[in-house]
Amino acid sequence: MIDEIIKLFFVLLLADVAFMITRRNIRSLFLIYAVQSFLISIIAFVLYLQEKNSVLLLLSLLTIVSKSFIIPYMMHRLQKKINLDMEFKYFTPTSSMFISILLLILIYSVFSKLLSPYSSNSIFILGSVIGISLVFMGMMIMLSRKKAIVKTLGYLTMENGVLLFGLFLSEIPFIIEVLITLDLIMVAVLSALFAFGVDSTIEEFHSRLNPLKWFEEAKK
Amino acid sequence: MIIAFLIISFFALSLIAFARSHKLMNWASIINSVSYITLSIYLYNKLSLPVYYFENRFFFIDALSIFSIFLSSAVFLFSAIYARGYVESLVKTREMNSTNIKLFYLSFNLLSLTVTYCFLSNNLALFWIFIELTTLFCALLIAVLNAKENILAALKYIFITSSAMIFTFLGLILIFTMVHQITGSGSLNLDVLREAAQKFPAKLSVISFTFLLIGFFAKSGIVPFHSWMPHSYSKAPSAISAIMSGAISFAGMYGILRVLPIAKNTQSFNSISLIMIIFGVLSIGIASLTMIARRNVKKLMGFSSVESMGFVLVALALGTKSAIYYALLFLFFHSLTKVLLFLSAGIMHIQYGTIHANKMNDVLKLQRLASIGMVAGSISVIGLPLFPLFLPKLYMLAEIGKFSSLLLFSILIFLLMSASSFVIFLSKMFSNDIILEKANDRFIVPFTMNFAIISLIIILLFSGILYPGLINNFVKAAAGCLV
Repeated sequence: MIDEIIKLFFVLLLADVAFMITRRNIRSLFLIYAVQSFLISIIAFVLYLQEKNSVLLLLSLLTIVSKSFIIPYMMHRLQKKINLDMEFKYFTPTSSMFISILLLILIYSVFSKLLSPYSSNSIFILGSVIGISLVFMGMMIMLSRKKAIVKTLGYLTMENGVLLFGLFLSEIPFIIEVLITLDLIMVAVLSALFAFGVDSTIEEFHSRLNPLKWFEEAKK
Repeated sequence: MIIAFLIISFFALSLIAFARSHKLMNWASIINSVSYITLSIYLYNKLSLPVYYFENRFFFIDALSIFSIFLSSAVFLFSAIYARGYVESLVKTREMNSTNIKLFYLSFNLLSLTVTYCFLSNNLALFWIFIELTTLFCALLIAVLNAKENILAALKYIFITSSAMIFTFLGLILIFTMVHQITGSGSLNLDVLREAAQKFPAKLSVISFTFLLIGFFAKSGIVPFHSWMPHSYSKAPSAISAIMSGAISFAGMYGILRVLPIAKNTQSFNSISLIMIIFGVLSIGIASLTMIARRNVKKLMGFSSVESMGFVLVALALGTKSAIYYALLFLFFHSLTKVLLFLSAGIMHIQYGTIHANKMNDVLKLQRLASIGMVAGSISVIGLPLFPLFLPKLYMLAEIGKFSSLLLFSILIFLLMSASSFVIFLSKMFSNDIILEKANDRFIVPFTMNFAIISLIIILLFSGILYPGLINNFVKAAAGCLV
């Protein structure tokens, strides 16, 4: 039963990435990213119900709070200030989708054999394969899109892919897992800040970076 | 003892956070680097290495960590001394806002702290975390200047290195899984990995190590993950380009150095070695071909770093004791040479408002010391005698020759091309007879900037003459950690 639920979420996750690859509207991309992170946190939660490993529960909570709410909200706020909306891309949606499907097939054929000695359960192999595919699809978004903020979303998708891969394949110590997640979030937040900095004035950008301004804002 | 570095940085950072004058922030940075150097020498003499810390052995100190901390702290020290006059000049020329000075020094010292803890990590996942943090602070330091191009350069740096580091993380998860199956409890500690590596399945270990190396390749500027390097080096403040070239790309190479003994213990080292040789030769080749047409001095240095890192990668791929020893010596002096070149280029930039050789005139008359620094640095980086890169380069080539004469021949041709690029660049810079519309006023170089350059020239010359001199035992001990 639980395996079936996880498989359903895999399908939803792939559909979500397909939307991300094909959409042009930047605002809807933030929502798609939030949904993607939400789906991964649900998968982590379902795995927690199955394995009763509290690390999975904490990871699920960390993902949902940081990636489904904080990061998309922060990006949405910055986007409203700068008023970015549409973005043009190098690849057409059809070619992007075609490449993604090819990637998925290739990764499945290579990794399903290599990883089979490490898990008897096919769902774990499938989860790992989808995780790696997500990494490559995120990379494709980074390479094919022009706007820096959309590239950041590609990076965040890669990060989600690695999280999914880790969820299914290994039990890295909790402290390391949390540190890695925090580290990735920090890089993502900074790159988002920079990505908007490209489209804002240099004064505005530096005022967001400057620690003196943080103190001033805190005082207010 | 491992906490001592954190305590030193805590004091330095607190001082900077509350300081009101640039002078105090600069002194805090200098003292931070000097303390790191002193502490690393003390630890080297006092401890019987290696020493592991905490129950989980996540941190350790061995000769290679001390060697790396010593090198990176020296790079930070020269840059901090130089920054005193340099930052003030940038503020005067309005390339940097005075309100950003604090951000500059905070990031500068946090970068020094994180790169130091990279070298103290016995756990590959922890190393990954610290090296990712260096990306963060480097990006802040690139974006600190008042130009949109700097934000773009910082973004390019983050995107390329961080997405490559995600592949490294995939590699880590795969390695963790293999160790888990072999030992029953997973670990990414270097000592555990070395022992478990013999039982890694061949095919999966090739894929895991390839993924693992991608991030380190990007950090050290190996082709095809190098494109951020010339771009970021040319846009970052020169003191930061010096650090990125001397300490941060070294940290990437340090990751490869640490992975090397593990990879050597696997059954598939030949395949991993071949991958390293292919990427190394590609780096040397593409960088040498690109360098010829470069007139932007910092871009030239950037491509030269790509070429040098490729050269070191090929030597490391051979995995012999001698190749590793000379690669470490090469990395040490290469870092100091690049610092000298970038610091000299910084003076040229303030003098002319540009770093294009075609737009500089009367270089020797206006900036004699920086010109000497550029010439000395170029001679050193080419690897001519009397400078300390000559012998490591020669011996590394000899090691490559033992492996394959065809490989040696192709690398020699590329090295010759890269040497020609420096000659062409210098001759262009010194023989420019352009008449500028407005005559350049001579930029009076502050004492601290000159001091950093003079010290580096003296150190490089003495090291070349007394080669390998004082650091011989130090390097031998560091290389011993990898064999």
